[in-house]
Amino acid sequence: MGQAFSFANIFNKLWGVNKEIRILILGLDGAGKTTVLYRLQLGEVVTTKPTIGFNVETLKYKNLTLNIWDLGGQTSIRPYWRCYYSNTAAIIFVVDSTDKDRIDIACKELHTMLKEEELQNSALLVFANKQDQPGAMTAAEVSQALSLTDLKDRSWSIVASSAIKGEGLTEGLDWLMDVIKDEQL
Amino acid sequence: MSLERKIRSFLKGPRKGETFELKAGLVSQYKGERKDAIQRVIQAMTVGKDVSSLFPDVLKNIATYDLEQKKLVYLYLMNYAKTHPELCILAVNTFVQDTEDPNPLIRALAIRTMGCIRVARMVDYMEIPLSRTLKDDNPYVRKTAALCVAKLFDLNPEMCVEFGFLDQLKELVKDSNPMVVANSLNALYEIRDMNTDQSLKVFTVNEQIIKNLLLCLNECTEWGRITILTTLNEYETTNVEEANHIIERVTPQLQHVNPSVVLSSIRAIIHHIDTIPVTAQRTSILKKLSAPLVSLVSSSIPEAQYVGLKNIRIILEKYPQILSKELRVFFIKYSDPLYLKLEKLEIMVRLANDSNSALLLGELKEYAMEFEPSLVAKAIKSIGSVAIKLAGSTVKSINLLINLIDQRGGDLIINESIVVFTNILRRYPGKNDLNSLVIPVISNHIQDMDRNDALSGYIWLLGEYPKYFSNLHDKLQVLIDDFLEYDSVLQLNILTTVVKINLASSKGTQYSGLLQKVLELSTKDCENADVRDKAYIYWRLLSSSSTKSQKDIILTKLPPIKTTIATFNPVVLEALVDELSTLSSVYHKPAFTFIDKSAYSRLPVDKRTKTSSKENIEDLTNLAKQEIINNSKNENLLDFDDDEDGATESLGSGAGSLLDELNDLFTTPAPAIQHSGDQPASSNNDILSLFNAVPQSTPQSVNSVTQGVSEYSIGSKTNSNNNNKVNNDLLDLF
Repeated sequence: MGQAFSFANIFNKLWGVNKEIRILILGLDGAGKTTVLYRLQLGEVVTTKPTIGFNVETLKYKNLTLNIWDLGGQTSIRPYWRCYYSNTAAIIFVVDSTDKDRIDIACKELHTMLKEEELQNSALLVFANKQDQPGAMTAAEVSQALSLTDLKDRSWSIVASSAIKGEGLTEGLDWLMDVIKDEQL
Repeated sequence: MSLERKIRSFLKGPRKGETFELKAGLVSQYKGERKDAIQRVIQAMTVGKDVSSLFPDVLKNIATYDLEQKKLVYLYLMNYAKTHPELCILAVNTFVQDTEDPNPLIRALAIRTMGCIRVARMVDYMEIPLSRTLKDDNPYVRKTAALCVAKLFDLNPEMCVEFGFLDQLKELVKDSNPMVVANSLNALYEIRDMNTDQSLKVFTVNEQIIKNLLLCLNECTEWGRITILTTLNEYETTNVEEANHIIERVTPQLQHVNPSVVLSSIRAIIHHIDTIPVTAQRTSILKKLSAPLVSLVSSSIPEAQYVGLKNIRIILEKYPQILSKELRVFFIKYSDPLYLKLEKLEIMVRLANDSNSALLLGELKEYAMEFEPSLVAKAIKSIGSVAIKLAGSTVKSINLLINLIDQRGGDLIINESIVVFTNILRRYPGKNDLNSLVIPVISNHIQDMDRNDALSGYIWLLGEYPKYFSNLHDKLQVLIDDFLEYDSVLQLNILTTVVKINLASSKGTQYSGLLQKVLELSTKDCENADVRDKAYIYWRLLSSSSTKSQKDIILTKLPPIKTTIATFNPVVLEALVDELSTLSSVYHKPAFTFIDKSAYSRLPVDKRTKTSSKENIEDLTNLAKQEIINNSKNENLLDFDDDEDGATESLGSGAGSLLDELNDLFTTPAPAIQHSGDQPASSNNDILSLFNAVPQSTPQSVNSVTQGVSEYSIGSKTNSNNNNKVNNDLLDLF
């Protein structure tokens, strides 16, 4: 108990120093969530295995401390996403743009998730990922497939990206930072 | 954030309660707060509060670079994994990552925790991290992984074998690091005990492994050494050179500080000593054992000493000469607790020989002058045992006891001494000098006798040596006057004695009145069926048969007893020597008599729930009844042993009380035979002597009751044979 109420902590709290901003990376399995996370954190592509559970990394970005959670996207783990919703500032939803068959499922998962009470204040960033692959849908197509335009009362954006090549990620994150800064201050 | 929502959340206000507070802390946006909350959660957990509802939130904190926090979260996870089995898989990713961590402590911690989460779904994800850690460069990680294989086997043996973890574990026994070797052995033993699959061969020790183990022995921790020594004890070899090598390597361990290591070494040496063909060599090895055995007794902890003494007793039985020169070590110290004193007496009696008898008797006399009644009683019994063991010390012992009675007196000493006197006279029957030395003393203290065993000894002596007692008629008269107030044991004794005296004395007339009276009392007024039946048998015998056959039957002398020191049945002894330094060596019972295998093996959960329900207990009761009926149909009333074992297994642990009843039922016949040794003239022996068919020398059955029961109930062949014999004889009678 004592530690939490030391003076240093109170000051830090007042000025928002060391405050971590929670961001969730969600999406269907194989969309590239883990690759996005480590591309953002390490700046390199790591070989990944299906995430059973989650990865979490802390990232300093434009004077903000981001706590980025990458949750496993397998059907069996999706129900547990809800455990992570509280105190979430933003959601990064990663979509495999080449996977046209499952885009409907992605759409359904996204909308169910956004109905959650705890996520009403969170911003939404969609990465239309795997743009480096042939036959990938464009950001606009993905946006339409996910019916993003139906979203009301929420700041959202969609960015075409390729985690392998590192394209689009910083743009997306920059947009997110602007929104979060507005919300926080 | 919209204004409306802000107002709403403001109106709601913060939610209160410790759990909410902790929850908020666990998902805080500040690192410090989260760690603090975790600490508080663990704190609540250790004082017994149920904080399982925080499981998902604690779990979120598992991925951290802070080792301290990681340990705490792992601790929480181990504790509450069972409450949220489905959520456990959320931790898998972190576990797998942690087993690749550069820090070996984290790698080991991760695999250990993963093994401790006893959730079936977890097993599916264990393959990769486990096989990775089993091949780790760091020995600490390897040994942790080795133990994890045993945990996995408990959850899913098929998978454990299929993925080759068992084989990898066997390979680890040949590891270069002693710590890994010892722990792999332990894991293999665990697996062997859990294994229910007959076809699966878990572990066999071969020459190669033994060589490696012997190399590791000196570098291990004490627990590792014990494991290795236990393995050596299980290894069978006929190769003399190898046995020699093993003994050579183990011998230095005899000097270890830890008594358990010492005992395990002794056990391993004893196990392999028989392989050595040269007697002189064997003797020289055995000589080396005496110093370490003595060191067990010089420990400063009385409990450790006690365990040492219990083990020494077993070793002494196998090698009586081993400590013959060390009697003084076992002398009782003033400050010893009582249980230690009594156990020391047991050892001293066993060490008695002609050269140290004077010293020993002097010491025993001191103990007999102590104040603790049980010590005094045991000391007197020990004096008797010495007198019976060493013919040369008999007179000295008797004089010593007479002195004791004169100097100190008291009911306890007199009663105990008279029992001892009776036993001594049974050891040396018909010795005039002993009789004339002892019997006057007994006659002088008839009024002081108040215990059945002393009285029955006295009554037996009356019948056996009537001419040494003055006023025999009066003495018998007194006994017959109080006949109906005595215990049935004494009634039986009096009956026999009066019949014997009548038959022996040629005049007959003097005692025939007494005979008439005692027969009438026991047939008409006595409520005990045994007494009545025995009286009828005597009566019929006396009225129908010829005098010669009467004398042959009634006056047959009992064979002399050989010792009053309890000994183990040879089969039991072998088992106990093999289980030295385990619990069975303290109980003096082989392990299988008190360890329920089914309780130890895998998946006992179903059984337990079954037996706890009332219905099933009823079923079991019926089953047990059926069993008893079946058994009673058999000719051999005492041949329960095998069935009893079967019953024990099928009944499981839940029906303990029922089993006790059953055991009582089964074992009651045994103690009855037991007592025949202590009470020279008790019914059984007499009935047996009637038919001139004493099947076994009585001293064999002179045992403390506990030992006796265990020996009879384990069903070792020799004993059940004896039982059957006795039993058949008894059956013939009716």
